[in-house]
Amino acid sequence: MAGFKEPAEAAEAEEMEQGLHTPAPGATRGKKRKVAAPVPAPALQPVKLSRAELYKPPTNEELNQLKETEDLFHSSLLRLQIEELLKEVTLKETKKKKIDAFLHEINRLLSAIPETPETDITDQTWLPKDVKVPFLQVPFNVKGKFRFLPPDELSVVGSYLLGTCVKPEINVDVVVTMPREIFQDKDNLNQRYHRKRALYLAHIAQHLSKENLFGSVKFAYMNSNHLKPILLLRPQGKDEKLVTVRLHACPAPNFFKPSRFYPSKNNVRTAWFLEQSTPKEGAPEPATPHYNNSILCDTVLLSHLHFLSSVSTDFPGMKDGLALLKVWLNQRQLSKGLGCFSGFLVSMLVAYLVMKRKIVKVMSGYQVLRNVLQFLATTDLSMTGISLAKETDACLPTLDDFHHAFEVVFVDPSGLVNLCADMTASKYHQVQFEAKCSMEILDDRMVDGFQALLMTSKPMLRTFDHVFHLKHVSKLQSACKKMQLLNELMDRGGNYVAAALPFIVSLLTRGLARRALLVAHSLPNTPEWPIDTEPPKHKDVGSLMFGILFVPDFAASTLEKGPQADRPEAADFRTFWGEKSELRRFQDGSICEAVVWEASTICQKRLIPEQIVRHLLKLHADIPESSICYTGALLESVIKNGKEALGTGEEDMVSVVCSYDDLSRKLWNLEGLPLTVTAVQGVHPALRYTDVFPPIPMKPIYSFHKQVKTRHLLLPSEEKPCPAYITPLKMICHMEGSGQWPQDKEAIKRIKAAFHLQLAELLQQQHQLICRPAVTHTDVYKDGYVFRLQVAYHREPLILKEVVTPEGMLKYQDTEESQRLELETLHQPYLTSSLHGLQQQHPVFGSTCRLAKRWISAQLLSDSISEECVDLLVASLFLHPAPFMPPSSPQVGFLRFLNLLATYDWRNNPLIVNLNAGLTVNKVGSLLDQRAVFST
Amino acid sequence: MAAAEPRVAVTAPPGYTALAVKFGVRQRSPHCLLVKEHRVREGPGDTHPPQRTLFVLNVPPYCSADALSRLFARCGAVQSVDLRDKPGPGEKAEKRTSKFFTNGTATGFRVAYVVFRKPAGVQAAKALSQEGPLLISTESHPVKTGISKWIARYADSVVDREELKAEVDAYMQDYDKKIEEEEAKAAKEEGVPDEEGWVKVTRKGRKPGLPRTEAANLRVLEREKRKKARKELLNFYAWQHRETKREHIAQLRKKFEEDKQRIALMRAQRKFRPY
Repeated sequence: MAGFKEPAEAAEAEEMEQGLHTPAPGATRGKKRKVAAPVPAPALQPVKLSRAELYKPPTNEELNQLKETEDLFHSSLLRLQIEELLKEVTLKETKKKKIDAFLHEINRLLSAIPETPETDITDQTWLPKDVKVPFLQVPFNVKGKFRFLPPDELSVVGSYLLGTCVKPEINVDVVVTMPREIFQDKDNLNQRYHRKRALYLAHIAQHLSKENLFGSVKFAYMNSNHLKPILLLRPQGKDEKLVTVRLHACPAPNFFKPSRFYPSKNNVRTAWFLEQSTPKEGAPEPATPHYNNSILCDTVLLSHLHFLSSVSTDFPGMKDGLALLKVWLNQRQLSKGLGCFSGFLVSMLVAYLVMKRKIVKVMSGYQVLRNVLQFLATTDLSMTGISLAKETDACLPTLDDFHHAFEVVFVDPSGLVNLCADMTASKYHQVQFEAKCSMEILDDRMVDGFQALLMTSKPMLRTFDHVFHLKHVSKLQSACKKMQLLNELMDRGGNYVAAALPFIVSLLTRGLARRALLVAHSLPNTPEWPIDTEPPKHKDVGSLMFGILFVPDFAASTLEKGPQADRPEAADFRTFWGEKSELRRFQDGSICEAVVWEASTICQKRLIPEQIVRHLLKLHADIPESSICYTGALLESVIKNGKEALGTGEEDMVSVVCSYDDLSRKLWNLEGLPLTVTAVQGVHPALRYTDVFPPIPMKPIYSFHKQVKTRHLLLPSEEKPCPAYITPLKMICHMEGSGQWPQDKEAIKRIKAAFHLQLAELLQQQHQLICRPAVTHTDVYKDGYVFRLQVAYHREPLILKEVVTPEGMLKYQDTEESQRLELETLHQPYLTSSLHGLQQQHPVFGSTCRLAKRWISAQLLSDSISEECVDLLVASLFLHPAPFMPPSSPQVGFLRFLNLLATYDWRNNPLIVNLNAGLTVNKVGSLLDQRAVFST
Repeated sequence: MAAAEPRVAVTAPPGYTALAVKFGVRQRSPHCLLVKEHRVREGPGDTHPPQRTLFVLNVPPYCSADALSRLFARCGAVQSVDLRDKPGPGEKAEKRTSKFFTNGTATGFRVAYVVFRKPAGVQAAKALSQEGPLLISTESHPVKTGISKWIARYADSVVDREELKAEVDAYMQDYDKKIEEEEAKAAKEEGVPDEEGWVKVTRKGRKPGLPRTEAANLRVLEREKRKKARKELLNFYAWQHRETKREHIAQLRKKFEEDKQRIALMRAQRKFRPY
């Protein structure tokens, strides 16, 4: 018996599978059910509270808490979520004790380091071979003497003391004050101070490395700024991952005169830097603001600590707020590397807002987060800097002076140090952009702000539409030469990456001005290194990554229109674009400079930014094409149709839709039908631009067929090659409702068949289209496509559902047949028209979908995930992109699709795709509640 | 087992006899038809008379009714062959009249009732198990495969417009007549009490009643509720005030509990590790 039962069972199982995965009403239910399927893991249970518990008189405390939640947080869920997150990232008390003990040990060891005799700075023979000076000593020769003396003072500064340090990297900053005797006059010049500082740390490192206390003793650059080496100490054993003590060295207080380090002052002599013996007479020395700033930073470390601790007293929300902000920055990869938006910077920003009374001390962590984001979103520090200095001392440099020297300005309480010295304007704009997005997310009640802001990481690959790498950063050396950046090089101590980066980014920003919302770069990051190896060179930062976020309307335009030819700006435009710029006459009669990029297909047009980037970098920065690794369309080859096709099938899809529109217009205007056509809707994926390989117009080859004259029929011939397959494109043709429709399902079938016959006849008569009617549909051959026309009557599903109860009551019950019909005639057409609309808003939606489908099929998953389901999943990426922007290139869309599949919490949350914004907040809420009931 | 000794019958379920069949000469391993005499307890219909009917299981999808009748023709004259998706009582002969409006034939293995003219045929068929595998596709009557099968199917799928039209027209005429008759009957009964004196109220008459559907019932209930709510005064008495406040706090509490639970669940899944 089992023998014959098997196939039947298999068929049934398959059908159930299909039922499971075809999206049902509201387009989400299919998804939901699939999610609910795996039972054993814990799922949400509906809350059962007894009446007594619900209605017991509230205590004062409880009332307060409920009220506080309403006032200070978005909702109670957000409050709980934030509390949990803070628990995860803050340091536990038990760990703190261990760290304190470790710090005491370090203190003991440091004071026991012996002094050394005085030598020249360049004479480093006293240093044992197993320690290398953590500084790139180029040029090597400097004047001055150095000797090691035990530190005057040792103090802990920074986030650890304030209690704002955040996992996973617990850093404790310890400042060692170098005694005054080490320094001489003029130590401010020519990196002498920096060399001494490095030697000082090297000596400490050499002694500490002999101790058993430490698991590792390493060097690193503070925020990858190679003028500022620091010593990293980690405890022995299993605590090694727990904490990193960062040893900074700073000069004796009041040794340097602050006025020497104003942003306009010079402290690196050109002659020394270029190793010329005699300085050039008469030439003014350029200002070295970054160099000056690096020394000033060391002098104010302690006062910053005092400042911050005075702000954070009586302000419990600050600690939480800073932890949240740090997580926010970490998730956006903004908090590490040269010119980062570090945690320290955020603390200072909060202090600034407290000073300006935009934050008051009763605020919760969430409100601190909101206010800081709000401030960032609305203030452009690269145009209008801010200062923490209270009294306006006339001799201190003004904000304008700072703006002159730095791209981003945020001056510390002393009025001397720019805290954002290394930050590029582009980086700040990225921060600003992120803050703006985040504010929008927080204000939108439809999105889970917590998840989007704090739990989703935003790596560049998934954030930006196009990314490219600069593979060989050493090529930037020649870029510096080409752009004449000698002064910047001197200022940055020879770091050509840091010197060239702002200029390259501004070059790209200008070139892509109209096309790009944002041009961002990754932060150069040097790894730490063991003390017995040479410090990493500038080129060891690896490859630099750039990301571009497009304005979808302009990103693909082929024309770059410049000023009119007789204007003075024209020359500027010509030099900027080089040979590409040519004079063109436009339709309005003007003659303008213009650049025209070559691109014929849509996919080539998407790559115009690549052409621009390559052209500009070659022209202005001498960076060869071979060292640019551009990833914008790597995957598009898999959706190219045919062997020698140029395009990715998007044009084909457009022509299909054109033909379909024409046919539907013809159907509307058909004369001689007993009932009028009320709507024509497409069902086939090609009609919503998501068919992987759209049909290509075909003509039958007559010699391959046998003709059956009597029935106007072409039959394929057995001997000849198989004729090409033409996919029928299904569309639904809704007929007007009328009393003449029979109310019986069998009769409706007959009437529909009669309509199919008549439609075929009329189309043939009035529009000379070849039609082939059948019982369930009519095939229409038009422009080389075959459209499969299916007539629908809106009451038919209802009639199929009718059931009469024993009492004679008429009831409507879903049956398999009615559900199938509803899916075919209601839901699929609705989906198709909605997604067609989505494609009009986001031109890359279709291509993203097709990539996703290709991937699903390649993983052999297409049996269990239907096409419609993939379409909806991809649509959700475009409709609810938070925390990203809607994708503007298929590549980034596809990457996010993979990420969605991998990381979404399918078990606990239904994915609700809000097509046409048809669902309101309340509806979504009730859907969620329903789901909670479903899963029990 | 079957492959090793093609002549020996394969183990069949009790009561059945296994007949080896092959698609054609070139196939090496045979397939098994399971046959037995058709026997049912209740109401053996006219279509499948007992003794003369052979019940066949495991009929492969490519085997048509014609092929089956040819196959069993050697055991005696075959009167009819009834191919089905599932075994069941035989009232199948009814709606086979429509050529176009069928519910699509299911694919896969089927069952068949083969009716012989004489009871001897059944016994002869059972005895076939001793012989070598029977061929379904013979040279004189080949079963179409591959492209020729598809071409034939395509040719079949093209409907004759006139024929279809005629059938639809005929059906609709019948249907219209039926509806007309029903309406005439209803009109005749309109307002006429039956023997117990009850009058049937329909939608058609001069005083149409409510339609007896579930939706209509719900609508009426809903309307009643709304009417009631309109009449009620909200927050008029002090106790009502108290009640709403209490209700509000209870709502908040419930929400809080729900959130707490959700958080606990997420914590269990380590959803709060940011990186």
